[in-house]
Amino acid sequence: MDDSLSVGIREEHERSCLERLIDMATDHKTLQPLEFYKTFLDRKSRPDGRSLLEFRKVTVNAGSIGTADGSAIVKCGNTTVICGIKAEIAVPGMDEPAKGFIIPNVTLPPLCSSKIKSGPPGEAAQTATQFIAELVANNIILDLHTLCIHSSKWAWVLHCDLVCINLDGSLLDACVIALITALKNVTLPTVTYDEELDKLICDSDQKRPLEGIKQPVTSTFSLFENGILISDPTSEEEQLAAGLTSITMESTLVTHMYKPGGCTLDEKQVKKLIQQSELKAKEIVRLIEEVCLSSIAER
Amino acid sequence: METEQKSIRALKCEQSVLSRADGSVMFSQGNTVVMASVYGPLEAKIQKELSDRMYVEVNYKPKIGMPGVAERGKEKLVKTTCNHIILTNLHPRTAVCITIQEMQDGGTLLSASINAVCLALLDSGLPLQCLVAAVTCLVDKKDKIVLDPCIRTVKEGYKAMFTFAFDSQKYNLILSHCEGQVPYTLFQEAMELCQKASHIIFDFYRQAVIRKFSKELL
Repeated sequence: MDDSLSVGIREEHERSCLERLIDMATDHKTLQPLEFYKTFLDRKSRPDGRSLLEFRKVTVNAGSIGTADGSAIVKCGNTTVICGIKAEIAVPGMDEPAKGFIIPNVTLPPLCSSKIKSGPPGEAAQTATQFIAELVANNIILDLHTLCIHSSKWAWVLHCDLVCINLDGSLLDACVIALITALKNVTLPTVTYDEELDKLICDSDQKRPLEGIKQPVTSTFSLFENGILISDPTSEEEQLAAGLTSITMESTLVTHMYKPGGCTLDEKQVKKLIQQSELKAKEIVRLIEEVCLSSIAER
Repeated sequence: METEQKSIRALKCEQSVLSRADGSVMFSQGNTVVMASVYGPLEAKIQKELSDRMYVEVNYKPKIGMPGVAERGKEKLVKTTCNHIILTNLHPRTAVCITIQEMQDGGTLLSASINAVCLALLDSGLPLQCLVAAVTCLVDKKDKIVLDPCIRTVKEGYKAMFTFAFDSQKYNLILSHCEGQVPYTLFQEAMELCQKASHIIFDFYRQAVIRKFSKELL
């Protein structure tokens, strides 16, 4: 009985030591977040167990919103973005009569993060929208001429709404994957323009998917002083970092290197980041094709 | 047809053009003219106050119309660049307000804005870690690289357009913004060309400051 009592006391003692260590670690994390984080970086690891250049698991689901013409939900770790696409018909612009429109809009509602307040779109939402709009404008995702029904008369407009429901870093990565998967999921009714009657004839039963959708993939990296680069940062890591860069690759073509200021990069580091982005792009493209094939099979 | 351009257009600037601002400049790069003003350190609004650093606020005003989402994009790029070059730790709980006014669009507004802001910061006397020089280059449809394109070249259509900004200490990359797609080799070539051109801009900053002080001393 004495043995079991002393074992019981020893276990209690160990448990209280462990609890004290956990309390100390939590205090250290709250009071000195950068120091706490650096203890992990020194061992070439991160609090969630990933290595420095490892990406989080990506989950993609297509066609979950029945009322939308095309939809997708993407999860990059905890960051969740939903994309819904609605199509309508409009008159093309005077300066580009043979082009349709893709109008992206990124919304960050207050439920996605404690840093987002309610009210008009803040800086983060507007810069994300501008990033996606630039990607769309240069015909990188889809040649807008394919959306034209009849030059200077009628063209398709695709309203792409990207809503982030959980923000944990790498917003742009998730938005781009969601947009491409949703576009691949879109089916538009066949529309023909009768010139003599000057009417549009719409056949809702004959639906066809969009063609020629290219697949650029964005990879976000956080930069720290002393040349440390980490990939796919969580929201805490983004805050502690000295700089951020998002590289968009389409197979081997460098589509966009978005580096808004922050810590500097030399040529070797730029080359390394581009190589990592290329590897990630290959994996994500494979994932998107798998998801699209299975969603077509379901239909 | 335009011949291959391997150097940047003429740079001109006039500092301290505004009497009330802490720092101001009217800067032109070829036909692109931009005015920048710096007010700081100012008292920060309580919501924007940071306990350990200075808060940098940038406003970009287009020539026509109200600022929209595209202007927010430019503001974010300039703001994060300034956060890196200004020694914000020296002025906690204050703010600096930078305003960029587009006067004339001759093709390279983003790089002209960044260069103008750097000159205005020099004029204001805020402590800086390093200077920044931004250069734009364009890859036309025939894969030729044109440095510092004018608006006519931009309107003719291009494969890709890059804006890179470099620091004055090691000439490393501070800012990068791209439109269009190119293979990595062309991207690297464009970056190296812009890096070399940034030396010209740093020399120009030096000359501008020498001129300003020689006028004051005389």
